[in-house]
Amino acid sequence: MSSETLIPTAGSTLEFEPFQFQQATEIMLEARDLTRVWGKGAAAQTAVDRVDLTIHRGETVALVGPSGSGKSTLGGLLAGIDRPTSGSMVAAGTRVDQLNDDDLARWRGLHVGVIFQDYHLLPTLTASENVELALKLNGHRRGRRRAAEAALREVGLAGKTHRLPSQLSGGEQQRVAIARAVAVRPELLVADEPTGSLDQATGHAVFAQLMGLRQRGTTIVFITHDDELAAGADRIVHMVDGRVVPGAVAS
Amino acid sequence: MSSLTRSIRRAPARIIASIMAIALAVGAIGVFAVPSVAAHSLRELALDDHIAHVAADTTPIASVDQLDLDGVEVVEGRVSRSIATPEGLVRVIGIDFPNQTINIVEPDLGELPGIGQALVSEGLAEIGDTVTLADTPLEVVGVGNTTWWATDDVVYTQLADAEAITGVDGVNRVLVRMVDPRSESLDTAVEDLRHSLNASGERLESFPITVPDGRHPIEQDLIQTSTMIGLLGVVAGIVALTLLASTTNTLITERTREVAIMRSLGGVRRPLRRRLRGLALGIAGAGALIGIPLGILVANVVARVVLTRFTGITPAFAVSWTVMGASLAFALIGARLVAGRAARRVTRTPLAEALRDREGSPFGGRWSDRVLARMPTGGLFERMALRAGAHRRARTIGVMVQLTAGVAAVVTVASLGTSIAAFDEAELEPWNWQSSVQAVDAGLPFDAALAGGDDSIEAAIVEVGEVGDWEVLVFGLSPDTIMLDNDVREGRWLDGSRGVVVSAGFAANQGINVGSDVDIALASGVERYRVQGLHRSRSLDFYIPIDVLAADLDSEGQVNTFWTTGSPDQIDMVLPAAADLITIDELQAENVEARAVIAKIFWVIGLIIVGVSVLGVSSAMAVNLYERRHELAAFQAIGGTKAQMRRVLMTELVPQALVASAVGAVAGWYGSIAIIGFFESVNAVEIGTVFATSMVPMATVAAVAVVALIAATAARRAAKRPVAVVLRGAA
Repeated sequence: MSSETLIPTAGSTLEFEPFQFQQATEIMLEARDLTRVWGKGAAAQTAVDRVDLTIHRGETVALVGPSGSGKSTLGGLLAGIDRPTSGSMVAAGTRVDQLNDDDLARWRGLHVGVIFQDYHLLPTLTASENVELALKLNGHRRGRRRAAEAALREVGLAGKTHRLPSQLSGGEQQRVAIARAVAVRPELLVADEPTGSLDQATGHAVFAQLMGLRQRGTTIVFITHDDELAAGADRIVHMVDGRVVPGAVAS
Repeated sequence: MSSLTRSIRRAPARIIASIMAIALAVGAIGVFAVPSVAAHSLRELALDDHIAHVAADTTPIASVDQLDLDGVEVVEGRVSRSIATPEGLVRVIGIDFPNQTINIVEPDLGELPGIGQALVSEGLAEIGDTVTLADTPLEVVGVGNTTWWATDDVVYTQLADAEAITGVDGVNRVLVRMVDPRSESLDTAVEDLRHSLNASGERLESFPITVPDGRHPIEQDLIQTSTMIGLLGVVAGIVALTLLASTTNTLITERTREVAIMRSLGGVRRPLRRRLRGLALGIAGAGALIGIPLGILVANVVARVVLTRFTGITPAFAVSWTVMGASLAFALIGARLVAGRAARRVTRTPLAEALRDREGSPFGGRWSDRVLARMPTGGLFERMALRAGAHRRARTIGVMVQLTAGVAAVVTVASLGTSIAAFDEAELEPWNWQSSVQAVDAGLPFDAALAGGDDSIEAAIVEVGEVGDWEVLVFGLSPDTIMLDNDVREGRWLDGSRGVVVSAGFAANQGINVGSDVDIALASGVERYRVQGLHRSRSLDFYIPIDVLAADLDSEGQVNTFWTTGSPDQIDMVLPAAADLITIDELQAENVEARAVIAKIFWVIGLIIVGVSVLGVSSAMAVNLYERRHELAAFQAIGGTKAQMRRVLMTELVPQALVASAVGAVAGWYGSIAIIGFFESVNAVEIGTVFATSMVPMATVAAVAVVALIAATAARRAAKRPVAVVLRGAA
């Protein structure tokens, strides 16, 4: 996909390349009885409540549900940026929930790409450097700059690689965050409202590119309120009050 | 108060750390109070003891009634003479106890003595013991003292007993209290006393001690030490000011977004500023409330150590309200000024910008940020570190100033120590005698001829005199002396004429030049000498040919000191009066011991300052890292490990520590020069600054270790915090 295709035109519609998901392939993620409680004592709030979820390699899963249903918390647990209060999570044979802090960080760096709704770019690094950093932490020793610029070119920011986050619009920052996540060619991509801060046309274009990662076999979990985007997933997981609504799981 | 309580609940560790940091800073300023607390304690004692305004040793006179003195409140005569005993020298003082009103001796135990009885200073004997002096047995009935003689072993008896023991016919010490105790009045009293004595064929045996304005006689000696200690308060003040500014600034700046939200909801700037200032003042006030008692404690502990060690006096608890009031004002006014500026800035930040950026002004807003972002400044971690430092400039400057102040404090304290040690050595260095025997009591009781023809023994006169308002040591020695190096910096050495060689440092301070005349007030009166040389001696010394000085003291052929280049055994003559024998090694050992006490005090104060500095750095870094918690969490989210985080923080902080150490070393150097220079100018003494070079690498290593520890702690804490929890807080 050329960079030009990412620059949307008014009235563009959402179209995805057809992707043949192969059922019963290798399991990428397996969560059992996954629970996350915020706070303690009387103030304790169960954000994720005994969730069982299996995601296969290359599968695209949309987490949907009303605000406060626990989507983002579950996304954080799946991405390994949070630890469950109880339950287990196995990712490609690794008990992620039992890794120590450093091993968990290394696991994230090597296997996971995360896109945050609030971008969370490092404010003192340029767009290119933000992507480079992810590559560095991913273990890339050579050609990081070239790879970073290529990733930024792919999201339509070829001319803004040396801009600092503060010099970019919200949409541009989100595209840098996407470039950062995809540049490391993660096995698992977790995106929390990846298009939430973008206008509809840009959002659709960005989302289309994320979907393009399926071609590489990347497992994608994205959280969205947008039914139209969710419809593009292989599977939709509905959450209500921290639980996966069994009947609502669609594929 | 309610907003302070809310703030404490919101971030208890940081607020409490800020309060404690300010408390320690204010406490450290208490060092300023050491001189005044010491002086206050001594003046209280002077008041209790009814200390004499003038104390003069005279040739024996029948009674003080024969003296014709104006403006006198009361005059008393005493017998005062030292007696050699097998246990050492003991001062025997005869007092008319029922009528004593000056330098009052009171028993701590037992009672005042009658005839055949004695009251002794603590440790000399017990009540019920018998002390025998010059074949006179005395029953000890009391233990006590007056602070005038606090460091001496004293036996107090009735006048008659003292006369019998010492052989003094009448009294030989005159104590005077004046109606007007100012210096000028006391000088006049001394003149009147001299004339009155001379008129009756008697004379002063030594230069009288004058104690003006309710002071204590040892105050002048002690004040030098305590002033130097107090001067360290300047360093403490600088560290405290930085810490206060940094803490206050941080407390307000971190509320930028909160204030922006309130403004967007209709909050008006003025009340918002008032609220921010209130918060800063609350924290500064709370810090001061804890810090002021701490300062009082610090000042009293240091003053007590100094007084006990150097005077044998245990002072009462005292408070310097001036310093404590100034500390409180310093904390509140400082916080108000810094808070006012910070609050104005926070409430003036454009709403859109303040609401958009959760972590203060964004990086890239300034041209310098953009230039830095394009500069090739190393690898990614190095770039992150450098730009993070530039991004939060105020915080970086705060950390560096704190580190600089800490290093400067260590270097200053160490340099003061090395300078004092060097001064002590330099003070003795020109002297070649190995042993000295000096009369304990006033006057020139020894015949110079006692030295005989032994070339290794020299007779000398060592007297206290006064030049201007300065108490000086006047040495009468042979122009051919081998006991003192006679190489002069300027002019020429003594040649037997009526000339004087003066310490070069004192001469420079007082504008005394070779060829000028100088008036020296001696026991016998004021004498004028022509300055013919400036000596490298560091003290306030005046060297005069021995014959000239003896004649001026109306005691031709008489001396009070013998020096020898050999062992003390060489001075085996029979002396007609009690004498104190000391070797140069003992003198050096005494200096070393005294220096060790001062060094300990300096180091304690230095450590307090360093503690404030470390706390300040920790506090500033805690806030810095708190502000960057989302950035660090994002770094972790994309795979950054604890070790990598530590590396980034180290890369940021270590260069800051190195720069701060370099600046601190320079500041310490100039600080030492300033403190010693001030001390030299107010004491007219030449100390010289010897820079503690070896302390610089140690301080640098310590500074780097501190920041490394902070970086490691911060990285460990950040790694323990679940990334999602931190990022969730950002959303």
